[in-house]
Amino acid sequence: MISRALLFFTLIPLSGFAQIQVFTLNGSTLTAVGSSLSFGTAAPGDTIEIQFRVQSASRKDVPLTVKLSSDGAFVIQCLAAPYVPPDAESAFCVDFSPTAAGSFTATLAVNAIDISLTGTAVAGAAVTLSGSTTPLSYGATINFGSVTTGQTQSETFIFSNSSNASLTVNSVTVSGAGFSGPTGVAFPLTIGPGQQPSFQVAFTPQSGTPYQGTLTIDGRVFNLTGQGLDPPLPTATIDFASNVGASAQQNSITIPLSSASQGSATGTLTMAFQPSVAGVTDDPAVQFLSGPFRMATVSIAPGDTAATIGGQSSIQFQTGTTAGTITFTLTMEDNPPQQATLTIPPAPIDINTATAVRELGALNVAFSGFDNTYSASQLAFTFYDLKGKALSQGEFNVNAGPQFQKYFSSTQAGGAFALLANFMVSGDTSQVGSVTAQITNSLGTTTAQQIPITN
Amino acid sequence: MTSFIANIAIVCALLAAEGARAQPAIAPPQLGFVEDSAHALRPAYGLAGNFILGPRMTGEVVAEAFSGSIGLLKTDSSLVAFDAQGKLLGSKDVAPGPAIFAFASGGATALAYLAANKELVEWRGDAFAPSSFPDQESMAGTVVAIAFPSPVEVTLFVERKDTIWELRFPLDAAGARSQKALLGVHAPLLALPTGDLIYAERGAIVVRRADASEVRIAAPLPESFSLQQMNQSWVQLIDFNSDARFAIQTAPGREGFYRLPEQSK
Repeated sequence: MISRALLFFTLIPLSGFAQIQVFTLNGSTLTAVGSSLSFGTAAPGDTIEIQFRVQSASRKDVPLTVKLSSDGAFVIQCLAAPYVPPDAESAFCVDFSPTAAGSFTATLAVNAIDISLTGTAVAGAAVTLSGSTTPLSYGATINFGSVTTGQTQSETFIFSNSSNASLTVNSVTVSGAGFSGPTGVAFPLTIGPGQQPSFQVAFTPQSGTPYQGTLTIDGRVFNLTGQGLDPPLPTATIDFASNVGASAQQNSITIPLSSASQGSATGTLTMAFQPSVAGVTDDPAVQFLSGPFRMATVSIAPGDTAATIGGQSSIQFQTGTTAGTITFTLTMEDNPPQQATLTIPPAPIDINTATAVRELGALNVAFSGFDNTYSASQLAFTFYDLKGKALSQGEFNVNAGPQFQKYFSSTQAGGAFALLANFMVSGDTSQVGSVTAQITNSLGTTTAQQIPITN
Repeated sequence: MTSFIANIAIVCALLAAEGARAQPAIAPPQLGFVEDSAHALRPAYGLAGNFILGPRMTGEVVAEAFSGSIGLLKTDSSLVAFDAQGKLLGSKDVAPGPAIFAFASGGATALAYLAANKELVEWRGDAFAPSSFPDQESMAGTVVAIAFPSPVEVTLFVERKDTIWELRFPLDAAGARSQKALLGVHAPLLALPTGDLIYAERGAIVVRRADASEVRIAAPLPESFSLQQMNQSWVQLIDFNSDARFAIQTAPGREGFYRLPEQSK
């Protein structure tokens, strides 16, 4: 009866034991634990702590028992919950805290899983960070602080030997990107009683990111951390190839820096347009000529004396055909935005092309241009004979204001327009040699003189 | 003469030619058509220094040109004629490969040189028709441009050992032939219906007028490019190595070199 009862109590827990697995946790990395686990090397007085995680794949709570049989150097520092929840984990930790030199062992029992723990304590020189009186303990973190990329911050470590005999430090290694050393002494290093030799470790970040490394002294591991800082950018300015604002111009922008940049940065250059013409909200022709419509990427690399815009040293833009203000905004990471404006003043109508064609019984006068005020109104035409003498009918006046208003209210071409005027003629049109056209807006009158009439 | 002039009467001035023409009296200025960086055909509007690209009309363009009234377009397998509104006028199946276009003065008829078969095709205003072609022997060299100086004549600009030769042939195979070297002219080369030749030299586009006078337009030229007619007095320059597209104004007295936008709003 007794044997049957023992069998029962043994079997039930075993069914639960089979559903757990033990891991160590280092940072965010879980590593499955086998039948043995080394805590590494410490000095008397150090504490090495290892975090454990117990996971269960069961759909039910799994009872958890953690026991440690130790000679005193190992101790369970934080206790696990008595159950591992379904599809979850339970945590505990074990400290290795030797008080004297030697090798130490313990057995950790997690339910039915036995794990052999080992640790070594080596009598070594104490290590103190310069400026501190407290020796560094195993696993201590030395923070080099925030350092500008390309600059170097060094920390001095001081050995001390308070014993009556000489100690030997066999090796010191530094690992981790951005960290270098040791410098100042050579290893192996014998330290006599009362001596305090020192060495240096340097931190030289190459980017504005966090850095981590390790300092290992005869197997004792210390953590190194530091933060890289991007250097402040030199002042960037928005320079126009031409500071004269006018419609229908192609201009370009460069972004020179006040000095060679020590770091890198990215950002954007955007353009916005605010028309000064009442009722007009935009002019789609105001845009960059490469890349996206009104946005360009800006980048600065170490050594640059000017930013690159869209991968080029400059970027071209066009000013459209509407009076107003073009605003460029440069936004670089961690820097306040900068703006530059280019004012496009209202102007008389610009006639770009003008032609006159003779047809049977008619003359057609065509011209293209732009009115950046959207106020074009009066047209006047004067015809001349082949000798350049004005025809007797004098000037033909046409109030085109309504047609222009209708056109400007619906077009996507800004203030650009092409106009065709048709004149019906009785008589021989071949005797009409040229025509002068005038067009008026709110800023004045523009004249296309003596446009030759062609067949 | 004086009494005749006195009989002329301009009886009416209209801003709207709508009764006589399909176009409104005031409209956005059309600059023609361009091939964008995605090899799509797009209308271009605006003025010198102020360009607006219209929506993409068709893709997979191998070559295109526009006279001001009609356009020709080559895709991998088709030769297409279209009007100023982009409307299809006619098409013809052709072999893959590049094409070179030329318009007659007036812009209503055109020639297409199809490099794959060394074939000339004429657009006669309503349909494509094959054209007779010079014998291959006289054609030694690479055709880099063509012109359509008269309804019965074609001019081929042929590159032979770094020299451009102008070869004139009758289209009907009868008639005089001539050839001459064009010293100082280089490919890429474009011949306009006005007789102007457009080509490049270091740092400049050269417009060689029909009277042999030359105008140089300072331009930051890309390493390799092609030239295509956009309109009567506009030429598109296509950079082979980037998305950049440029427009060259060739009208006398208004010559200029501009960059075309890559994007439209």
